[in-house]
Amino acid sequence: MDGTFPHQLFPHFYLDGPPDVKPKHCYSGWGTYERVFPVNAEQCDGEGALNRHRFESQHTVRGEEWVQLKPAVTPFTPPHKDAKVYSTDLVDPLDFPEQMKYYYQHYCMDAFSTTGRLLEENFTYKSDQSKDVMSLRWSKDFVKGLNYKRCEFGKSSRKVRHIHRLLSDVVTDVPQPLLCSLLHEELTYQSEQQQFSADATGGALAFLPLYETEKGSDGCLIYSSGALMDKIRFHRVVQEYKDDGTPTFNMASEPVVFDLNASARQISCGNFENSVIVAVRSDYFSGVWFVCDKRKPRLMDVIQTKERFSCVTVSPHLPNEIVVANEQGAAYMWTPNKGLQKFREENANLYFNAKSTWRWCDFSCHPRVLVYADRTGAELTDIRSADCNHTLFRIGRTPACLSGERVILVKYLGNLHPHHHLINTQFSSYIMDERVPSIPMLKWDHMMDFPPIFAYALPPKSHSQSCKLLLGAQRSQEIMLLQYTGGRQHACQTQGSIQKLLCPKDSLSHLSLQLPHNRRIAQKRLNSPAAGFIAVQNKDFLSVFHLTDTADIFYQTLKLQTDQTTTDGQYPEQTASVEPTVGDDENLQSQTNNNISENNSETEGRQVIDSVDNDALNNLDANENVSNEPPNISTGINPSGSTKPLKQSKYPDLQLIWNVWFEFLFKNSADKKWLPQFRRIYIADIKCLKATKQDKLEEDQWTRLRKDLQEVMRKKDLLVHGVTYLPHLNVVQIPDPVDPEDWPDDVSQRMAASWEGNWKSWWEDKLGLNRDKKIANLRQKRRREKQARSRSRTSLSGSFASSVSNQDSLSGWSSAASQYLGSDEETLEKSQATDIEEWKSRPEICNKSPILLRRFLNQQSVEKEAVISPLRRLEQELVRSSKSQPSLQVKQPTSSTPNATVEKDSVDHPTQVTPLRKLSIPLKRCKEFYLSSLPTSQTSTQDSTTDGGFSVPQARLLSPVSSSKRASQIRSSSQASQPKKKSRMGF
Amino acid sequence: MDDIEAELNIAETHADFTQDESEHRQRLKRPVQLHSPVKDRGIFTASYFLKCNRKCLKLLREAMLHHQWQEAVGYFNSYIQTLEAKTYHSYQSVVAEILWRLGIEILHHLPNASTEDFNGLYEQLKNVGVINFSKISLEHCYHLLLNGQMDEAKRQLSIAESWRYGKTSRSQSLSKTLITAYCGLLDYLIWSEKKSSVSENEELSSNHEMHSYFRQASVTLKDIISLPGIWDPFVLSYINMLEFYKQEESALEALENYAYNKEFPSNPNAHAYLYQFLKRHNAPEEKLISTLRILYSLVPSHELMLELCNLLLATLERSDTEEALTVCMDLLEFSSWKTDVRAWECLYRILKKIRQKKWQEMIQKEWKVRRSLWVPLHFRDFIGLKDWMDNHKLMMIIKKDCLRIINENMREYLRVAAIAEKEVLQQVRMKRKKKQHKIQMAITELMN
Repeated sequence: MDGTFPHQLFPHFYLDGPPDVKPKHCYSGWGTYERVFPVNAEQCDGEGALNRHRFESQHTVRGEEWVQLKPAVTPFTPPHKDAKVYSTDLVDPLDFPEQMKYYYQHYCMDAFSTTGRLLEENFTYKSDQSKDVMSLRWSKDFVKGLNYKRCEFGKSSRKVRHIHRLLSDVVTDVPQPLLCSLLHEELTYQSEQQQFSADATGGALAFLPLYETEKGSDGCLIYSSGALMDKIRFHRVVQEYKDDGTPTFNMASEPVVFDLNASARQISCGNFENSVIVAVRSDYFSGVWFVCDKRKPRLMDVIQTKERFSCVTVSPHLPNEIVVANEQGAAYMWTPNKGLQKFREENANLYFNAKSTWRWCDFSCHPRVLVYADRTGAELTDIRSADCNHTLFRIGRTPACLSGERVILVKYLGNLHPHHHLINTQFSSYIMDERVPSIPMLKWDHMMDFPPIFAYALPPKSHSQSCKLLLGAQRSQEIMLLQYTGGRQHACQTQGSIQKLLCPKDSLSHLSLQLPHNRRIAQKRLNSPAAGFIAVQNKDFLSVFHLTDTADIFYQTLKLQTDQTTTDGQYPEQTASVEPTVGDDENLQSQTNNNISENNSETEGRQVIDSVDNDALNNLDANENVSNEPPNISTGINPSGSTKPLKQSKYPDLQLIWNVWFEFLFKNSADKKWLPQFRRIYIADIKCLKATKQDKLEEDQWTRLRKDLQEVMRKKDLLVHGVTYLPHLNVVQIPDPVDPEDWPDDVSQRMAASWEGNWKSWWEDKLGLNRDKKIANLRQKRRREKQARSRSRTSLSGSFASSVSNQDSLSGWSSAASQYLGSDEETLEKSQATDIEEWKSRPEICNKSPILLRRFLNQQSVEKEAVISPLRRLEQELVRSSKSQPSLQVKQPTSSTPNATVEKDSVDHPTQVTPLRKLSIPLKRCKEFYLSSLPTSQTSTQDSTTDGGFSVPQARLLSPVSSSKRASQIRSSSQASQPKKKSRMGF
Repeated sequence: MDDIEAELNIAETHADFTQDESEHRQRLKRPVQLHSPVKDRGIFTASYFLKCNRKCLKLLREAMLHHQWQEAVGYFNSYIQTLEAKTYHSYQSVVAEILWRLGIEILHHLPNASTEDFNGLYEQLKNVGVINFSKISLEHCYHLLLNGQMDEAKRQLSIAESWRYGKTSRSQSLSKTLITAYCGLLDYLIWSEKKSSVSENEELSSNHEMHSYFRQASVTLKDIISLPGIWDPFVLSYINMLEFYKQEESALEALENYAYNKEFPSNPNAHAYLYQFLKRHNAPEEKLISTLRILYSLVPSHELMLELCNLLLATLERSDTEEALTVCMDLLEFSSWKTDVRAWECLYRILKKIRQKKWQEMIQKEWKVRRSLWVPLHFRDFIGLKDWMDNHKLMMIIKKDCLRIINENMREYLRVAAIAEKEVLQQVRMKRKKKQHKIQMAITELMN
């Protein structure tokens, strides 16, 4: 019953808003059940006896197994002579200099004529020249040489360089920068077009089954051909079945050909009754042909517009109804010979601005309700009333779209289920039910490399079979086979995992070898993008026809695996029947399972990986055995699918067909007389290169060196320069380590910081991003201070003496400081450790720059000491001194009062100077600071300079960022006792 | 190091995206292909490990897409080592997800994969990178449920439910919601098992253990069905429980919310459940009709429309009959109902009633609007032939009868059938003649 609706649907979220998940990988079509539900949850009270509940999943594991009859596709038509083969390599926009070179060289009259004419008077190629005319005879050789690839350095001419400097910016007609940018833009556009062009959506290949008998059937293949795909061919195809049911296809007679004015992009045909109409879309016109069994196809009507057509679809419900859409957003119902009726026009995209003019229309279950789609979604439009639109699908979070996902193709699956629609995006395929808008009944991640712009649906041949969907991509020629069931009494379920069918471009590896140049020609031809495909199923055979852009048609046949094994149970031995019977097979399987269970066991990662490594090698060996073994001849399947060339004996008929095809192809290409040009090489020049005789001593040296080298190589030892008699190398001294403090400017500081790995924190410091953290720390510190104070208040004497409170604050400061130090040390150590690891793990860098590395490592080790030792020491020192010499520390806060002067001369430096701060400042600068800023607290500063004096050279290596950060933190904690500073800290 | 490339890859597409936003045309975003060969630009891409790794993934993918599972096992074993290249956390979780997906798919197709293999793979990979935990747990639970291990599934779910880690992303929160929902569903299933196991004489509703399961299940299920979405299995279980404990009012409330809440997607099942519930509890006919009317406005092709027609016919109002005619004719326009005998019979019944009541103008009004569509849709010659060929003789008769009431003469439609009929009759006659001839021959032979 088509009208019934599944009693239960799988759970699904309904969410608002645009998709926010970024695509991370493209393997999500595997390994998931998506959702499950209990089959009879609501009936179990009635049965009573049900102990265990049965569950069903949205993605099921088992599907029909289709196996290839042959390892490669079979050519169906001989290669067309006049087909144009374009390079299929992707255009790289960064190749524009090459293009410009070509233009300047081969279209020099266009490129230089204007200025050339102006300069005509001043230059000449003639030998007799007057004074004010410059001869350019020397450049002839240079210009001639441009045709060849040559060494840039060997041929650089001083004169050319001079002229280049003098004239390069005026000599071109189009200014170079302008040409560059335009060319880059164009190349970018072209590469986009190469990757995806929506023109061919729908495909220019169609098949009409005319009639069917027991022995065979008759059909009509309709496809575009010709050099520009500007011919429509109606070709009768006779299908016959062999004894075992394998279908064979034969072109019956000469095709009926119609010439068009432009290339045909899409062919759509309705359901064949006694006759049928076939609609063909080209860019600016569409035509309709009337086809019936007995008579020749006849052109019925043509329409033409100024806006490009993007879609044409023939109605599956009523004869003589076609819907067309153009890029302006208008959609029309077209009845041939009666005219167009506009039913919808949208200037903007449906749901959000996708900046796309692509529009698509299709039919739905009701003959008067149409689907109107663009890149953002699809709507159901009732053409009887003006404003009756319902969302069918929209890009959003409900169907779990990824960000950047766009609708590529919409197809009404009337032959599978009257309410189902297929929506393809570049990532996924969705089955939508009209009755439940916005919620996909099924979703596959089709995992195709290029967006699937072709789709074909095959209805099940019996009730037990599944519906089949085939998706095809243009550039990569991929075709994927998806299977699903349900939609009537049961909810939709996918069947098995996605299967990739063969594509023409992979066939060469399965055929006998060709000569290299022939192979190149063939590969280029086979690589051309797909232009459409169709599939024909009869009984247990599925034949798929491919059409490429060069109008070549290939086909492949798959067979349904219907052994008794499929009915056996869940995990039948059918793999054994599919797989070749290899002696090691069992061994291999047990091995692989061992591996997997080993991985799963709770062993340590390292060990697991090691064992896997070993076993993986074994496995690969075993696999090779598998692929070398001849496949099961009785079934005629090549399960290993290895890329090894096909042995002649296995598929002689396939090889034969291909040989004929190759013959045609090579004959055609031989006609074109394309020969490469070679430069004549003057042997005399080479003779001149003969080395002059070297003196004996030198020769002796060389022979000795050679001997040494050989010996060393035998021993696998090193040859040190000092041992040889070679002239001394002038070894460049390793430059002195750069002192980051000598470079106070921002860029240097930042670079120093990033060398240390503190780039982030430097920026945070710079931009004040970590201010909140600082404030939080300060608060914490103050709280501690308060607590300490409250504690100290218990002693009466303490509450009066200011010195004590100061002391308290100091102790708080030191503890806070130590806290920071501790944490910083940790992170630093960690980052260094990882850095070193990283260095070690990059052998190529190690090899390239041992000096750098050594320096890096040295520095790391020195630095660790430098970071830890002086600060700790100082800290201890301070704590000690605070205990022993309270009088000294009392003065400490006052040291920061005259900070105005300091601020003036150090913009990017802290406004305050504390003893710690100095550690990271070179001595010279320290002195300046002290002289200018510390008139009152000389004792304390001197004390600390003596303290830190010895550590200055070490501290020099300290990163300015970390030190300044540390200093600033410490500073901020010391500032806490100063009410003046509060506002600056953001309180 | 692969991660950096992956990052670059993503960054590249983003750069394109932002750049193109200023342009007129927008570039289509391409999938992130971790198996495509690396460009030789940049520093890290030259790494041999990365190249090998990508090649391995490519071969693995090809083998899997061509359903060569044994070959895929070998590559998969080599690809596992990608997990070791843990320089970058977010990438590691991506690798873990890829490994999980590919590994499970391969295991599904290996003939001798055991339950332990599955469990091991799920357990190992759900703990690599916290991002995947909920997702993999849920899939693990599905796997156990499908293999009939409900207790183990329940245990896994409760572990996943109590699992917390830092900030949860949005997708994670969705899977967490699903985890609790499935917990509730399993509670319900245990409840229903208990219900069937408890003998009839005991007082069912006073069983304490059952009641506690009911409480747990109803709380979680109520939560989930209040969220917008499609929750058919959950709603059914919830309603079933409430009906058992005679809490019809809250059941009705839940069903009405599920059907009529504006924030929910339009789901024909929601209306069907409500209608069936009302029917079970003997709701008045007006209530039933109004429920189906709402369904008609949303899904005019639903199976329940036939029931709506019957209900409308049962009333005596003229407007109801008129509505029934519209509903039925609307239904017949859908290609899923075009050849359905039940629908045509329904139309015939309606037409007959109208003729009895002598409201012919009602038919003419409706027919005038629909004629242009109905003639090619239902009465073109090919349809006639098809109706006749597919042995829908019954339908031809009904269609003919309908046409007679509508007062329309579809010659095209009838002619094909008539010709075919004639041919068949002739054939039958020929056969009969042959038979008679044979019999006569036999008789004459006998006589002789």
